[in-house]
Amino acid sequence: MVDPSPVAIIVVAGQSALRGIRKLFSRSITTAKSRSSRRRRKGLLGNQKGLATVEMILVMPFVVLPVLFSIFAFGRVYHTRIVTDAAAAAGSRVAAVEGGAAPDVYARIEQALSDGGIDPSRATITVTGGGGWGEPIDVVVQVNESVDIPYLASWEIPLKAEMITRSEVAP
Amino acid sequence: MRLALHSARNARRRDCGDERGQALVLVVLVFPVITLVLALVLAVASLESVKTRVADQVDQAATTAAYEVDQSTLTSGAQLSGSTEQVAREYLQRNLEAVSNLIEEDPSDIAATAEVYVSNAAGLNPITGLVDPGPSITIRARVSVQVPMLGLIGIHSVPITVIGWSELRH
Repeated sequence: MVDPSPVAIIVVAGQSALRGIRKLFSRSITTAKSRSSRRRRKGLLGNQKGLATVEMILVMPFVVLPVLFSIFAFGRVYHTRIVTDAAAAAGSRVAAVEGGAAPDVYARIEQALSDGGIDPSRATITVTGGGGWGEPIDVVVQVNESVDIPYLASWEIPLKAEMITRSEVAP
Repeated sequence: MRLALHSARNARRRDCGDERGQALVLVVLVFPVITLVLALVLAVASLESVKTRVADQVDQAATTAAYEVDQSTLTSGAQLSGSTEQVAREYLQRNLEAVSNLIEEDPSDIAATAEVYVSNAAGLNPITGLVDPGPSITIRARVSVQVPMLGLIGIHSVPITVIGWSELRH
């Protein structure tokens, strides 16, 4: 058996080391390649992580809240409408019995509005006509209802109720 | 070859759960439907609101006419005069004029064609179909209500029938 020369040993060791380094680099290059291709694939298919949060942030204030506020505002306007009509009807009855624009008519209308949860100071009440038996009396109640919808609009809706009756009082 | 590539791409999309274009489909198909449903809800609510208002006006006309009744005739139980019906029609017209912007027909036409029933005794009411406990006046009016929101589906007015009733007291 021939003893290997020191040069041969160094050459073999060097070759082995080179093979190891090449193997190591080739693995890391492969890993980087595969990572990048995975990212590219994700990009193509649309990475949707966090999308729900973004959607929620956009949809909540600009869509859901205005819709909810609109429903609430519509309900409030409808309620005011009903109360205003009822107040005008109640007032016209008193106006018929009183024969015209007596203080009791205004008091009855204000009471009806207050019972319906509407501040009477917001209402404009007009009672015209009356006097002799059978003369027509016109009772008008108007309440301006403000509607505020975030990100959309803010406006006032005039709600007017008018009832016509006739005087039941002899002059 | 191109066909094979195309089908392979489609298969890959299916496998990977491709959701591209879904938002567009939702916006194009669902949004108009939601808008229409919302318009319908508002239209029905507005129709109900107008119906309530017109019914209030008809009630008001009936109540006003009730006080036109001659007390001695009412007490005697004799047939009531036609002036009660005349006042009912007059005040139906006057009150409907207050909501004329919501109705299609002319208030005077509605008042002229309305059914007015005046009775001086208890009995079956031919308009309501109920038994009246005593003398009463009943008005039935047919009104076409404007519903602008239903214009989206080609309906511009909805016919409604409202009944107003008032008891005649001694």
